[in-house]
Amino acid sequence: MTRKLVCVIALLAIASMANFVQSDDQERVIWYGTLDGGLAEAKRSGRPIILLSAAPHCQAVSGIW
Amino acid sequence: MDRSYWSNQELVLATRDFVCIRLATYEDQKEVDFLKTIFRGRSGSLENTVFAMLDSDGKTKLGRSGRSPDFAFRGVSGFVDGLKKMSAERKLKSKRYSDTKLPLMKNVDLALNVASCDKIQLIIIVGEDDEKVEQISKRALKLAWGDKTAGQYVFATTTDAKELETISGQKIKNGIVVVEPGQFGMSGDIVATFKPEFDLAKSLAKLVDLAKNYEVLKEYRSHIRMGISLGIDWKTETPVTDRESNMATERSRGRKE
Repeated sequence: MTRKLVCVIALLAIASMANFVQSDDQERVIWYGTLDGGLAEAKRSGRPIILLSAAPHCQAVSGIW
Repeated sequence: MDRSYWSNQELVLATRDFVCIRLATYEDQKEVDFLKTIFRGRSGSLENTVFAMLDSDGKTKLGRSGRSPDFAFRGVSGFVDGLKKMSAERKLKSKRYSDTKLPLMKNVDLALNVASCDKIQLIIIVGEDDEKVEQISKRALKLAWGDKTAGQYVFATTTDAKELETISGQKIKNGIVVVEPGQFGMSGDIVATFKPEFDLAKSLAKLVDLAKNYEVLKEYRSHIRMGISLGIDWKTETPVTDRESNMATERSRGRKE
């Protein structure tokens, strides 16, 4: 019984974590990572800018937006 | 930042007519000064996230700025509609294949962290000098803008071998290094290297394969918990000025920011 319960919990955990796996068939936004690089490209191409800024850390833990 | 929002496929395609700039907040004083002119929170300080639509001059705002697109658009579908409308009005046409520069991060350390956040691989153009880096970068343009690989990598360049010290694997003096970032983006493993004269057509299949097989599991709360317990402590280039963020760090780490 306990073993079954552990298995069910483990499966549920894996299923919930699966939501965070990036599917590689997906297209992704092409981001310029510096202001100078992005502004130069906007000026060159005449295209408007989508500007976003975010901290690549949370509670000083890196590796997560 | 909402991780699923920006992977909405309709949104991704709608962004192709625009220049997309994503800065890492607090990692460059000049960028911090610029962001402050775009949006400040109620406290008057720069907060962790900023969003704005700007004209190609980089100055004229094309709508309401705020902490996220939701300040200007109603949900992701509203944002997509807004982009499509703007694109049609301005008769924009995607020119991503003619782009002349790589979409680079400021340095290798930051690129490694951002690649880890995005759960994608990092491509580093390594060269003995700027000229060599420039030459190799030109050959790598199609990796950044080509059909099969657009948006699939974070890019950085370096002429300094010291910048690769946190990355393990066989280093090269000139060429392209493909790196899988570690869980916290403070280390990485080299999974492939290509010489400066690499044949893109031949290398592409290998690169696409490597990217497809790279899967990372991250769950927000356990990531933070594990990071704190392992002593992960990301130091920003400029002080974090987001009050709520600082309070959360103070609570979890028992220190004043």
